[in-house]
Amino acid sequence: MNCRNLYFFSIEAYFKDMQNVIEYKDGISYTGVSAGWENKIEAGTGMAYGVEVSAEKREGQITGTVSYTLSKSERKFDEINFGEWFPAKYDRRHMINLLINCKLNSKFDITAVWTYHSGNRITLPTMTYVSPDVPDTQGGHIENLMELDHRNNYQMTDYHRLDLVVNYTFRKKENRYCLLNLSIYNVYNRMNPYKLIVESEMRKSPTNESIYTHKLKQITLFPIIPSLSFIYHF
Amino acid sequence: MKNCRYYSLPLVLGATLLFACEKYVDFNGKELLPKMVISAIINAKSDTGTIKISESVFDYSSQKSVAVENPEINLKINGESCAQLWFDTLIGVHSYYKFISHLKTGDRVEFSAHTSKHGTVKGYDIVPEIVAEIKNIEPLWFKRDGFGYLRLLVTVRDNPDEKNFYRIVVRTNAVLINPSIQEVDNRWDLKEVFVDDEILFNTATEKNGEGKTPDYYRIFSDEMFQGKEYTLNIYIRNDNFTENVNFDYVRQSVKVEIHTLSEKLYQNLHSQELASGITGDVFSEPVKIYTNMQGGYGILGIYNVAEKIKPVAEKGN
Repeated sequence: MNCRNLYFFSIEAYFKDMQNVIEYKDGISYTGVSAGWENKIEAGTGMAYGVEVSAEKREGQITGTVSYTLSKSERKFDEINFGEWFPAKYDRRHMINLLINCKLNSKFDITAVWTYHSGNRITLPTMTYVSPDVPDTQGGHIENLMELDHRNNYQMTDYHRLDLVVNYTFRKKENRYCLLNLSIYNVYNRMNPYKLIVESEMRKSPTNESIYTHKLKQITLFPIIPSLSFIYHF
Repeated sequence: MKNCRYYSLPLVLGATLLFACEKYVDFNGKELLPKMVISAIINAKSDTGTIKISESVFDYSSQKSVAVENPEINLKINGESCAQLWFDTLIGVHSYYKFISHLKTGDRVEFSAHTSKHGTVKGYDIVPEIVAEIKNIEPLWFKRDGFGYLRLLVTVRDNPDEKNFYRIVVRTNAVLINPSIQEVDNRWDLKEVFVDDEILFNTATEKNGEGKTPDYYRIFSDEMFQGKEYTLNIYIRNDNFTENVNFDYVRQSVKVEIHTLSEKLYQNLHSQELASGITGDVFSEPVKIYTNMQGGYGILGIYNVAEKIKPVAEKGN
């Protein structure tokens, strides 16, 4: 739809069937020997589907785009999750992208980008119980089993951040000009989760049973990051 | 046309490294209620079976595991309730029940338990047929890294009709050869099993090239030798073979057991094996432990045992 060539709206739906997608096998360590890495992964199938709605303003002092995506993505592997479908790591139910560009004058322009999506998924044990009494083990089997419902069972907190870019252009002369650029990544210093690590502490009960306490430690990679750059264009 | 850019790369990298941070967070979701855990790994040839009942605890709260009180339990064999089922003992927070089994190949064993706190938890398994025939055991002594080992070449014939799952266990027995002593020692000592054979590798460690680990048993499937005769190559350590015997002349025997596992039991043991390989490794993919208990966790698994005893001619050096 076109409103006097100023505003553009679109709505799209998609369905994607995937073959030979890969995933780490159960119980595989990401560290250690990298030789034979192909033995650490499993090939399977996947599907993704969703609807995207977007609106765009292309002209004027203020331009921008806003889009919203509702999506679902799942995976299936013979040897993972006992052959049952499970959500993909990047199964983000909601995604919003907002971009605004404001041209203040011939020298200054400001761009703001805000990104939001549902949290990524990870596999996180949620329950613990004592392992079965396996005959013929001489106590050599593990004492406690950590249980989870399915692969990628846990959704981390939502991801969002605002990026700002301020450009100052000066000394225009034909095709030559200088640009001073100030960028701030993650302006409001949102501690978006990159990974969660389970930390376990063990103590013995009066009956000599192991009691575990688990804590979740969140790793954030990129907090607020300002940067300044100078560009000479010739 | 060129763009000359003078990025503040060190500033960006420095900020990334300095501000990359860790913090403790709460579990992002509701607290899960404890589930009942029922575990019973039953030898079909045993006269009695044992069932352990306990409960799981949510990892990110102050939940404490307590004994499951007065569950309504029901054991059925081929659809008929088993009358001879009784509470045996309470060890810690784990309740043990026993029952008279007398199981035959193809018997369907169902177990259910119900409490108001945990709801109903139920599962079943079917007694597997002994499908692997131990055709031959060939013992060979050898030394490696200063230790004496006894290699056993165990030839088995697999049933071609279906996918089968096995566990191998080795025991040893030493008997005095002294006519004045009539007492025969019938104890069979469980031995750690070492393997060179990929079919028997521990999935969690050896298949990933992380070294060999002895184990008291090895689980494997017939995927690589479906329906054929196959020689399993295993070995055991010799140093404890005659541990409690002071005489020079002993008659030693090894007993090799091939347990035919139900598929459910194999899946459970396999997932436990995988889980054991990543204990304490935060950079690993967690393992979902197989369960066949609807509404709870645990395993009701049955195995059937074929065994063969082989005298070992002389004591290893």
